Amino acid sequence: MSPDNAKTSDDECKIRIGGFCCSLRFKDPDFTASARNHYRGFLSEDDPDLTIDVNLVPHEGSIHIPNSILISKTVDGDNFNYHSGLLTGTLSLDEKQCTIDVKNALLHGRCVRIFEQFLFQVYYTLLKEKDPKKARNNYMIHGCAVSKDGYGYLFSGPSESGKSTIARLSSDLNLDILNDELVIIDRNDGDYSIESSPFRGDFTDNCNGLVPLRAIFLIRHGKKNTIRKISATEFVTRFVREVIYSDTVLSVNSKGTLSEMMDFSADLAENVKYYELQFLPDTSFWESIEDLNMVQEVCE
Amino acid sequence: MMVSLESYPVRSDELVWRVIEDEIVILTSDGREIHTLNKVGGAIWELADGTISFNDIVTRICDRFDVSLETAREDVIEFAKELSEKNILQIKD
Repeated sequence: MSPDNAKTSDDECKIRIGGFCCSLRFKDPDFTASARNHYRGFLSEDDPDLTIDVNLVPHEGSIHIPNSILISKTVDGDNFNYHSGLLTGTLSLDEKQCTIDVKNALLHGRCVRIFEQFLFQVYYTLLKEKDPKKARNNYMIHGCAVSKDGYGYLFSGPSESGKSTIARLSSDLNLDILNDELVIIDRNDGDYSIESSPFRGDFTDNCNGLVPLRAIFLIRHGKKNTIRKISATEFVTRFVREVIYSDTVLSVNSKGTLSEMMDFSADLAENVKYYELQFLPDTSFWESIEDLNMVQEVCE
Repeated sequence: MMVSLESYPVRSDELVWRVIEDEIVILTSDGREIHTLNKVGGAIWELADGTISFNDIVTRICDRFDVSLETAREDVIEFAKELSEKNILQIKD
């Protein structure tokens, strides 16, 4: 667990993303306080791997906020431009320093997701810089992760598939919710683990933790609880859509990135149990998962 | 689009594809589209390297699968049209 009583200056919010500490520095202490509250549970007192100076850019009238999670970005040397100027900046990894200008609308309400897309790429940037080998085995995944009996269960799916519902229902059973929106899967010596991230969805009472990954469920709402074994092909084609693009801040979508994401998804299919779960909006789906676990234990 | 049996199919460079459980999974370079091909489609796909004509592909499909020459021709041409319209297969003379 990362301590929340982080020793930081008043103008910075240091958050832990996976194994990295990022410092967000705002000129307005109200924003710093707001960011600390938003990322509570994931604050850090470590020396930052990257300091990001955030300059808020006021704007008149409404601005176009993209509703797609796909990132449009241009890169020129050390400079980057997300979503046609909504977020621009400069990155120097040598100096562990990044400066960004952000339209202030991106730091309010659900638009924060757009700002966080930048932070996803900050994470991948630090990962690829510090440990390129690990970067091929470590991805952010769009999904809800729940820890039960020391094992992690990932419920992955697109928006509205039920991730926050799964988190809320699992919380009712006093299970630990790692996250309802974005988690990190890591492969180390053939073993997969799943870790929370600071990037939450609607469920905010999550905990910061890391557990072995036991199973992946591709979820959808249903009229009854059904767990269906699916083919590896179906798993990969559905799962790879939920892998957060692993481009770095200073790279653009590349074929190589996609190849690595496909390989990671295919490796998961070979090494982790996966199913499709259709579920009712109550806690009974966990009984179906328990039944599945018992069958597996007998078979093993 | 007209596809001749004498022409040569070649997979687009702007794709990522993998063989998973005997099926082909294709991801477009922008990550927005995913296509899967069954065994026959996958066999055609793997032969589509730009050096083998559709005529030769039809012959190899007939050798490998229990399908008539006429059916194989129709299937291969239909497959080529569909994939070329999606810009994941290019047709060269």
